[in-house]
Amino acid sequence: MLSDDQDLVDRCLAGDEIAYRDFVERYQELIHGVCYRLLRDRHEAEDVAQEVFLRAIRALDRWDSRRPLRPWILTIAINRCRTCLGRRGRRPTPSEYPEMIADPRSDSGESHLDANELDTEIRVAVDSLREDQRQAFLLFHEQGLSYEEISDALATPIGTLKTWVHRSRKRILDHLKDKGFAEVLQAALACGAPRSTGSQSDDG
Amino acid sequence: MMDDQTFESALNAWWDERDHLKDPSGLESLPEELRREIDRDPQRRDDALAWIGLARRVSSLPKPAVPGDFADRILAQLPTKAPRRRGPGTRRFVAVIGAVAAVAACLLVVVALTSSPDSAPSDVAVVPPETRPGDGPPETLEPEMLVVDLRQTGATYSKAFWELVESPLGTEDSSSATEREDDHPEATALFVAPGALDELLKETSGNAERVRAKMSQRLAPVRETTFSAFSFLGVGAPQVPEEPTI
Repeated sequence: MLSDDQDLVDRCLAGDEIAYRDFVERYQELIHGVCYRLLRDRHEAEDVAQEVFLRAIRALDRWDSRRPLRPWILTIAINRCRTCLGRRGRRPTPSEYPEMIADPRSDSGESHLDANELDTEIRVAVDSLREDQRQAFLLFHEQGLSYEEISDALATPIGTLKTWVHRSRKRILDHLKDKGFAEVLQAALACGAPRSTGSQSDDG
Repeated sequence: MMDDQTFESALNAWWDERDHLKDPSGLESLPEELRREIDRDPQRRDDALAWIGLARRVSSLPKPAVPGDFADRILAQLPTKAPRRRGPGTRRFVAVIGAVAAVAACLLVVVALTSSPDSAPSDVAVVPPETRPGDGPPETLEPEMLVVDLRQTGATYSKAFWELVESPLGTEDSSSATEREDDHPEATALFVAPGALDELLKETSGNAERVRAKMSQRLAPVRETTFSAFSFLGVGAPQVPEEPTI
């Protein structure tokens, strides 16, 4: 992967426009997703994600080729999001989340109503977490990053991250149990393989 | 049988490995000891299932779609010239230059601080360059000597001269400046306020060379009369008018 990153960066630095496109397309889902989850505002997330790529491309000559590219650009994204959140000084309402809209592709055994209510409650619980714990939880579970990658991006020891993620899980589960969603979670599990993690339009 | 904490820790470690995402039931990948626990205790089984259900649900939440023209928008904002990659040699060179510049800046600050008597702590004696060991005894002036010297020149000094001498150092009020216009030229030296002289000598540590430099600096804008005024200090050629012989 490192040589792959190196090759891509070298092509970008040589001014290859196709390489720029490859670079953006390789990481756009990750960066856009992270920005969206952290900022919880679609338009702001798009703006910040664009800014992240522009900054990353301008700084490619400073990238340390001994380290993977993914955590590097992720760090830029998280820093930009933090700056944006700091500027904003408020936390947005979770009404922006697309999963609150009925997911027509849901083929699980539970009703759409239950599924959406469950997702909503998960969101509410996640939003109630402390900011650093929320970031760690989202990056680990939603974005599927490894602890090593998150540690690099957040500049936090892995042990601390594991503690944060663990506490987050417990708090979310307690919240769901309080709301009577424990059975729904078990039913979701009973339905078999996990749902597709593909993108969903959030035009609504 | 595991206690609650051990069970939770083991479940947590298993979750961190994400093994539960690899099998359909979520439980098949459980380590043997954990599986025994959930088989034995229905409550723990429910707990484990809830944990796995949450993990699956969170990881499968629909992700926001990236706009179709996202890459185009970024590429449109890119500068036409690509950044040049710095080679390892260049990077090292830049780092060394940066370090040298930083050290030089620090040294300059240190030198500036130590060479300015005003900025030195009161209990630290600032030694002017002329008085460093080995340079010989410095030539010093006392206020009285300065006044006497000024009187002995017998020169006429302009008002501008005195203003220059006194304004940065002086302690006299402005009314005295008006009075001195009417005084006899030979008495002008007395208009140098003792406080001003003290201040000047204090600033220069009484070092004659520094007194001259200071005077020269302060009187530079004033022309002929001024030069004749401080010529006794050794700056410029002495132009002391001789007393007319009767």
